[in-house]
Amino acid sequence: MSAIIDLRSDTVSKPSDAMRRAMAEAEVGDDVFGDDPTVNRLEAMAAERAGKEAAVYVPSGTMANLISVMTHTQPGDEILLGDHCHIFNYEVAGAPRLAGVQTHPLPNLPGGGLDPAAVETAIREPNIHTPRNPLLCLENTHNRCGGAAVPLAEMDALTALAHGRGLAVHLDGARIFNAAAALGVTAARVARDCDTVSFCLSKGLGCPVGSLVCGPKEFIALARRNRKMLGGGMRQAGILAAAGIYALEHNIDRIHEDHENAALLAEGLGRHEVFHVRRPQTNIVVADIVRGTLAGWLQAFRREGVLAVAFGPARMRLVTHLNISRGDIEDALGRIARTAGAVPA
Amino acid sequence: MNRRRALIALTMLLAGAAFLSGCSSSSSTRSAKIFQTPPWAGPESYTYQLSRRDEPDAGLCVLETAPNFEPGNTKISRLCGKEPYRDDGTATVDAATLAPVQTVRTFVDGKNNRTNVFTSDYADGQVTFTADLSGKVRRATRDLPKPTKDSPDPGWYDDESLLWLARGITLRSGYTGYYTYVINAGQPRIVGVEVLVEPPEQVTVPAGTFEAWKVRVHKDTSNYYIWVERTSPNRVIQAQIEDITYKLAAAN
Repeated sequence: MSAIIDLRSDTVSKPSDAMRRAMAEAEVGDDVFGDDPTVNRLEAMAAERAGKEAAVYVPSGTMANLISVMTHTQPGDEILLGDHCHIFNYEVAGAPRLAGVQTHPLPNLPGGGLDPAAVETAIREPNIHTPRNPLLCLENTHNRCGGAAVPLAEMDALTALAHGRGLAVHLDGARIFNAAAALGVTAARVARDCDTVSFCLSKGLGCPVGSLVCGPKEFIALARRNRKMLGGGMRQAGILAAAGIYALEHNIDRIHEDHENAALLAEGLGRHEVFHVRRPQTNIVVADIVRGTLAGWLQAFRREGVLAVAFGPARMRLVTHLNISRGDIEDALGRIARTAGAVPA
Repeated sequence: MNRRRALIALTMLLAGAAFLSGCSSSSSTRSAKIFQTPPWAGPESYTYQLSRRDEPDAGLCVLETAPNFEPGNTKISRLCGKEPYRDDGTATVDAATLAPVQTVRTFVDGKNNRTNVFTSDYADGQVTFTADLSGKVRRATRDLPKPTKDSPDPGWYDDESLLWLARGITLRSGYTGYYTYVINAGQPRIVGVEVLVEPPEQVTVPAGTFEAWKVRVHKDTSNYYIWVERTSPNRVIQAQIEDITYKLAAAN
């Protein structure tokens, strides 16, 4: 049996030997007391990368978004967000349940953005009957929109609109470095006009765990309290933060390789008429099943040692990451070619 | 959509932080007064064409200098726009040192009748940021750098004066300086930056071909580039700031 080629997500990437060494050698302290020098350094680096004043290290992307929503809002508020966004679909309704806010989903455009007119219409005029709208949430890159890098012009228009109506903007930038690479700018530019941004270390950056929330220092001070309330305060977390520092120093500049591998994968998959594949902008490849069943194809792929995930009733997702080389993609395409002639039931 | 894109183009550093912020991590903690002397001898007005990667025509920008418009102070203006959108910045600075006194940045969306105004007031070692977002006002105050062993005479300059600052530093290949950069657009921040002067290059813009120093401003993890005319009055010939490119179109 050949080695498994795991394309289910970039979260399956494993820490390298060098990253593990950095973790083992990390200087640590009690981070809840603010004493962990490695966490402090990671937070400073993250803030700088995001172009924000301060940052707080949290265990996961889901917690990062929840803390951000919680810190921006009061219970009973309503937040505006895309109907395909991660916060709305994949975070177990944490925003309404734990932050106490009502979510108002707006149709995501195919490119991951939102129609400014729809946002404008959704913002409620304040009166005694309506919830407040303190927050608009954006996502870039946009996972469910096939890893789309939302263009800067669209981001700028939405943030200008939101600010002009008194809303803050939180950017779920779990894969913001993929967006930055695709758009040819820095992550700070992508997040520039967003009040806060969160990003993940455990996706394309290859860390075992961790996310950052970045924003103004007053906001981060409150976010730190909310992290503690949610059970996210960690003690000698420098061991984990060291992986993040390693990733920020070594694993950003190579992200374009994942995009190139995704393009190669999409091109190869698209040669099979049983798949309809959209050209990826970043590291996420989405393939629609033209014939056969999704379960059948996923099983057939698995038999060949290629792992993908369902992404809709007849859609699969394959994600490239730093443990996947161009050779792995060529190997995966060869294996897929062996199954693509036969249509699975 | 075109209107929306135009709006973006004109909001080079647009704005709108619901939370105001200040000091932070920085590229450098070193800071000094790097502005040497004003290269302008009198009032100036230069026009630039703006572009960005996905938008070749992103409007026009006029940079105006009014030396000693009031005793001891110079007024500098960055007037960018394509109606009905405007993104204008003006700064009152010390005529000799470029030290900021007050800066005002006004973004007007004439189509939707919205105006956002960002003001930075410098006094007593502090800067007060005020954001007036269509009538919703937020304020924050931050300390400016104090003398330290490494930076006995720290220097700070406002974001709005960047294209003037680059003209008045030591224009010599290999020059490196450090200062504190105060930003009041998007999200206000105070951050240390490094400035390097690279060897002169020939730069061709709509106004002609010029020999220009390439000034690199390293902020956070990115670089801005400003090409400054090698000869007096050391005009900015071209600039690359974030995703916006300025090219000198004409000297009015």
